Amino acid sequence: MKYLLLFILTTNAWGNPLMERAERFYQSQRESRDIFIARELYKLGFFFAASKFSSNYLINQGLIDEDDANIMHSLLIKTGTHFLLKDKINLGKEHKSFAWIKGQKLLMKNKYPEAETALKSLTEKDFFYGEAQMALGVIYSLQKKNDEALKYYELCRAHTQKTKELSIKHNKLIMYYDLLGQTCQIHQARLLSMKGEFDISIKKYEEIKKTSYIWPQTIMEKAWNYYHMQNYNQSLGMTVALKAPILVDYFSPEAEYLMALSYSKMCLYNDALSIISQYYSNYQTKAQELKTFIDTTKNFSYLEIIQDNEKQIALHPYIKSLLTRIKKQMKFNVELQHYLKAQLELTKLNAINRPSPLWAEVRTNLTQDIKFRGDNLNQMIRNFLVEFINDVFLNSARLFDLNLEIIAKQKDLIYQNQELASDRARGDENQIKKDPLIHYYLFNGEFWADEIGDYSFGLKSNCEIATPPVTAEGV
Amino acid sequence: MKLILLISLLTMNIGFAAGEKKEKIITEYKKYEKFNLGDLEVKGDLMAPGDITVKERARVRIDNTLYERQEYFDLIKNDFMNMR
Repeated sequence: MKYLLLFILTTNAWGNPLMERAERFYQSQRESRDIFIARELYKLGFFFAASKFSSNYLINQGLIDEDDANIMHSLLIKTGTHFLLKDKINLGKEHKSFAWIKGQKLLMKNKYPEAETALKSLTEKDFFYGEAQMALGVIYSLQKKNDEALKYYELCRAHTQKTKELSIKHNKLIMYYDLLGQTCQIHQARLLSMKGEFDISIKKYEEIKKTSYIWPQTIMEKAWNYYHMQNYNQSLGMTVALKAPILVDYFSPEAEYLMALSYSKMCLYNDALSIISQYYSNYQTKAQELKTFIDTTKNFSYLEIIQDNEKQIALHPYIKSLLTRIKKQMKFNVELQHYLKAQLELTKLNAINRPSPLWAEVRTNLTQDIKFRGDNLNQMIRNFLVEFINDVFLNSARLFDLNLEIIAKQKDLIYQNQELASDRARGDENQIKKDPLIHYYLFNGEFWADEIGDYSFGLKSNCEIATPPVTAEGV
Repeated sequence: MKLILLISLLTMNIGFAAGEKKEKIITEYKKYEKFNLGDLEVKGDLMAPGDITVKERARVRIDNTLYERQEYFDLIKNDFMNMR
């Protein structure tokens, strides 16, 4: 199909009126030259090439009519937001999509009131209404206006549900709106947790299907909710879910910390210390492997590695897992698709054999654009990996503090001539805070997909003194 | 004259010493002596503590502020940046 298209393009290129018009505009000295070229390139299906001329026009002239605004909206969907995000571009009100881009730009710069005004101008009929509601929720969340934020996240959820139902034939769109709606729901759960409404927050998390891409990230957040509710057994059960083979890519240094912390809250100091020592031996190697990988990957060629399975064979399994995790990120996925499409467009443009200098410029522009997109993707991967290493060290420091605290507590017991009851049973069903509506099964070392994320430990707290304090006369 | 006198004096002494018989000296020490240590007084600065008791050192208990996730602003902002 690709070759057929190339053949048609090359054979018809000489007599193509659209190309001839584009070339004529390119020769003219008119101020509106760039927008005319953009229109013709758009009609020819050269979207990435068209976006560059549109961007140039917006920087130099700025004023566009409704038709051009519609073309730019379409380019926005097909090529991504890059061409409109430049600082020099001052977007007007010609298209509601521009309000979304404007709001996005302002929010990234932490200019909340201005971003709010831009985003509130979108109505339910506008394409980016769902995204705008989420962005408004984010603005209010960051300003700690939780009730307002919850309202906008609810609007986001309702809208994505409606849009999903309307896009029955487009699987990718359904998946996208599903993810957007679920992200809004997770934000609601987070705000409820910050308000101290942990049980309602857990219910919100539980509404997200286990088949969703973003479900694994809810595990840790639910575990923190159980921790704050002092249900340490359930908190431990949530974190242990991340050790299931199916979730092998979602290992988390913070989960290890939470596990050790929960054990220490139940005065199971030996268990906590064992987690701490395992963390140091396990993550030290991993962090070192990752650091070597980052240092030795020349010219930021992460993108090549991520696209080529053969290049991943020699990598440490856990680095492979991290790369898989990046591939599942929505932004990375969309950007990667645009990058591949831009490469395909360059192949088509290279096949055009016409004497006009327009095509040489278009090819140069697109080559630069592809390089920019590639660098951007490489930077995204590198940032993700560096953030992971930082996370390992951050949790290592937290575990060190916890280790000191456990030692201090053990010293307290020695100074007070006390001992903890250590001869208690290791697991007891009676220790589980059960929900009357849920049936409980015993865990026998097998992870069943439908059970993952619903585990609970049955440990009895060891925070009781076993022997009465020995008096001085008794010595 | 002085010199003759000095020589004669020296020769006289040598002759006298040679002629004298060695006397046996017996030194006797006190067989018992009592000291009252309380009455002893040492003048100057005292360099050692007066007693050997050890004071209990005050135990300092430093509470480490342990991290507990209370807010999700970092994740909320990350999710926004992760949108298309």
